[in-house]
This record gives sequence, structure tokens and C-alpha cells, in this order.
Amino acid sequence: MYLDSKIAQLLHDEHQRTVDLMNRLEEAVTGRQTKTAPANDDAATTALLADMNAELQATTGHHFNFEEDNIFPALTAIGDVAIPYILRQEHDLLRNLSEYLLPVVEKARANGFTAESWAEFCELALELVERQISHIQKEEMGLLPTLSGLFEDDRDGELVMLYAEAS
Amino acid sequence: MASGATAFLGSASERLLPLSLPFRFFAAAVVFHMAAWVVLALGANDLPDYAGGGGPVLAAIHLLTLGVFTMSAMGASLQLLPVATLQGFAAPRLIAGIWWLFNLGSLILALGMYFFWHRAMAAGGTLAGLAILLYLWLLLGNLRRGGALVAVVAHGWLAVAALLGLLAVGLALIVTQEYGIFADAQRSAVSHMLVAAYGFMGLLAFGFSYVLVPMFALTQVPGQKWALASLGIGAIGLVIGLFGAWFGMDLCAAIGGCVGLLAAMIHLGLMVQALRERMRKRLGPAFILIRLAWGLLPLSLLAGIAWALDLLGARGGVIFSLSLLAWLLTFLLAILQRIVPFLASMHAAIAIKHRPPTVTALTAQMPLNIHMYCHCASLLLLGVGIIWSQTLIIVVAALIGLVGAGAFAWFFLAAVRRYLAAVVSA
Repeated sequence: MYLDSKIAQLLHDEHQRTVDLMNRLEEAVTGRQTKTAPANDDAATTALLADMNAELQATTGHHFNFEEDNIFPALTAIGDVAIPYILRQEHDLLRNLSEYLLPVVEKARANGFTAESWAEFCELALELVERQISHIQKEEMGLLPTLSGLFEDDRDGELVMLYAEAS
Repeated sequence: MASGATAFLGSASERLLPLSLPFRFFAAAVVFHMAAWVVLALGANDLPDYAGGGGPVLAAIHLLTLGVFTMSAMGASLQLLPVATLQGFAAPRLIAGIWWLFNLGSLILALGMYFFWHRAMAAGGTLAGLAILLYLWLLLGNLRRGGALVAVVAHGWLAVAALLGLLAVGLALIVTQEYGIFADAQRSAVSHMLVAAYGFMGLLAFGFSYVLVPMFALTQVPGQKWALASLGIGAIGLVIGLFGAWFGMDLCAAIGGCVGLLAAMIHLGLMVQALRERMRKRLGPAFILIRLAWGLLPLSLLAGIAWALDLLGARGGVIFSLSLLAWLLTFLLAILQRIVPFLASMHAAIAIKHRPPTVTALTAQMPLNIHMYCHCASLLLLGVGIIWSQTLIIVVAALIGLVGAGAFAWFFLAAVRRYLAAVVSA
């Protein structure tokens, strides 16, 4: 369905990458193994923290900014106000959550986890997973299907270029 | 900004309805769900050998089909259809009016059926019918704009046609009890049930599955070609089955069931494929019920085929009806438990700028667990009670079902209470 619009397909692919990371994060912070902090040399945790660091620092922000600057105004222009409003609110919330989580991740990458920092990380990570998944669900249902009819083919191509240039 | 955004809700270009509109339909469905189990317990003695006609069994069936299924379908379709057609409903007062009319009509109709009061049945049927016609008018206005999700819109069109058909036959069945229009009222009643369950509710369930399952599981929307193939084959199967049921041609009815089974298998294949390709690994407890419903769908068709071929004995009709209603009820309650907190969280995001509650925070999981166990146990016991003609088992099943329905009401109230508490404290 989304293949009608190149920009919708690109945003969907980005969602897929984020959901993969959220699945890994959720796996790491739920279940029995979460009672104790992982060892400093744990390879899976090291890789997860590196990916999270990249995600929290730039990737999601780029995706959010792109939508706010290029997609939401087009939706608002045709009178669809509430959905862009909700998505923008959620962007702000996820940015805010990322600001809290980023120092915890950076500290863990440098020094490993203590019992306290691990507990804090788990709590913030679970909230991030839930809010990200819920946000992506809304975009997959309420945003991406609208894009095929929203932009002309030329504009659709331009948006793909714009997204690539800014990343 | 929150108030500014809220002010736009309800405009024709706006796809998000005010929360109170879909939620009033869901709240009524929750109450009718409990009422249906109570009335079924009262009519337990009649259930195993029920072959049509007024009384508690007919009332319980209509509390379920009108009060729970159609009520939820109205609430869900009014919110979900704009997702498919990309066009909102700009008629909040009319929607509220439909809700009042349909509640009143369903209640009076069920009372009339319970006590076999013909005038109450006629009055209730007329009110509910009027509400359905107004709802259809809204639906048609939205569907004719087309939209991005062609398969969902196509399912909507055929569901509208089925709703018109079941309404006409349903009202005629009420009249026939006094004036005898139909030569064989039982066959007409079976046709009415087939159009209602597989036609209206079934097609809506199939169509909205192509929106909701991909959304919850985060997967691609199934291929339009196969979804439309399932719809076309299903419609052909329904027409053949109806022809057989109406004219007493049992082999024809069974063939219709087989064609319907093919359509169901294509639909289920698309759903399984969608889940295999999903991004979200953890689907949550609701998908246990969704999978159960997916199992009950072909089971209902197999039971229908076996009944048409006279392979199920004297209680074939009741066994078929049970599996049919069990499929729809299971599916609907699974979907409701996902969309109630999801919609509440969306509206919370409008009203609350700083950390609105998450879906998990709005979901009371314990009552949902209680509901799931009670729901499964009650369906199983109902089957056993019907097959062995044991009134006591049926009463126990209905009471367990009532506990489950109560737990579901607890979940719904908790979601509303948590949403309101979050909004008030923000």
C-alpha cells in the first residue's frame, strides 16, 4: 500500500529500523535477567548501547524534524489538524525522554552500569519503548496511508531527496 | 493549542472523533454484554433444543448481535472508517442521536422478544431500524469518497448492503409473527442470521482487520488483490448459502459454506502472513483472543456445512449458532481491549502536553486476564451444555460469562477513569 508514495515507504522503512531497536531494547530490560545489571564486557549490551546512542543523538530527531517541517503542514493545509497535532506532541515527548535517557546511556558506555543506573535505565527504556511503538503505530495507521494522495509524484521525489540530504 | 486542536475535532476534514462519541457506543456494548449473559442464564433450559421463536434465547441473541456487535461496530466504524477513507464524519449530534435511538430500540426489542410482546418487538425493531438507517446514511456518505485502503472500503460497501438486507428481513420476521408473511419463518430467520453474522459483522471484521492487525502488529497491510479476492469469494459464498437456506436446498447451503470457507482461509492466510512479517515481536494478550477467534471462524463454517448436511443431529443449528456468535464475540472483545486504551491515549495526547498516560498506563490488565479465562471457559461449557443438553452446565457457563463481562466492564471503566484522572490532573 505504501509503495504508492516513495516518501511513505522511506518513513515506513525508518519505522522498521526503530522498531527493531525497540524490540531489542525491550528484550534487554524485561524478564528475569533484568534483576541484575549486565556485565561491563557484555557484547550484546555494548552493541545495544551504541545503537541507542546513535538513535537518541540524531536519527529520530532527523525523522521527527522532517515530518514536522514537510509532512504535517501539508496535512494541516487540507484541514486534518488533530492527527498532526498529536504526532507533534509525541515528538516533543520523545525528544524530552531522549534527553533524560541519553546521559544515562553515555555514562553506561563509559563506565558500565551500577545497580542504580541500571534500574533507572530500565525504567526510562521501557517508557521509551512503549511511547515509540505507540507513536509509530499511529503514524503507520494515521499518517502514511494519507501520503500517497497528498503529494504529486514530483513533490514525492523531492521529499525523498530532501530526507536523504538532511540525514 | 490543545483547545484549538480539539475545536477542529468533528469537522469534515478531521479524522479523529471526540472521544465521547465512540466511547458511548463501547460503553453501551459493555452493558449489553453483561445483560446478554444474564438473559442467557434465564433461558438456559430452552437453549439446547432452541429452534427459533420468541423467549429468553432470542432476546439474549439480539442483546449480543444488536447490543454488543452492532453497537461496537458502529462506534468502531465511525472512528476507523475515516482512517481508510481519509475523510471524517462532521455530524457529532447525529451520531449522538443514533446512539440514543439504537440503545432504546435494542432494549425495547430485547424486552419484546423476552416476553414475546409483539408490539414491543415492532416498536423496538422500528427504532433500532431507524437508527441503523441513519447510521447507514452516514456510512454511505463516507464510503462514497473512496480512499487509500480500497479493500477496506470495498468491505464497507458490502457490509452496508448486508445491513440493509438483514434489517429488511429482521423487520419482516417481526411482522410475520402476527401476519405470517414468510412460508417458513425458521428458514427466513436462519437467512437473517447468516446475513447479520457473515454479511454485516463478518465483512466489517474482515475489512477492519486489514487496518487494525497491521497497526497493532506493525506490519504491512495485506495485498489488496488477495483481500478483494477473499471479499468476492466470501460474497459469492454468502449468496449461495443464503439461496440454499431460504429455499430449503441444503446441499446448496453447504456449497455456500464451502465457498465461504475458502474466503475465510484466504483472509486467515493474509492475517498469518501479516503476523509473520510483523515488526512488533510482542503482540500482547489480546492476540490470544484474536487467534482464538481466527480458529472459531472456520469452525463456524464447518459447523454450518455439517448442519446443512444434517451431520450434527438435532442440535446442529444451536451448535452452529454458538460457534458463529463465539467467533464474532471473541474477535470483537479482543479488538475493543486494544482500541479503547489506544484511543484514550490519543485523546490524552491532545489534552495533556506533559507526559500523557501511555496505553499500558490506561490498561487494567488484571480484569482483562479474568475476562479472557472466563470468556474461554464459558464458551467451552456452553458447547458441552448444549451437546449434552445439561441446563445446569449452561447456567454455570452463563454465570462465568457474566463474571467475564463484568471484568471487561471493570477494564473499560478503569480506562475511562484513568484517562479522566490524567486529564484533570494535567
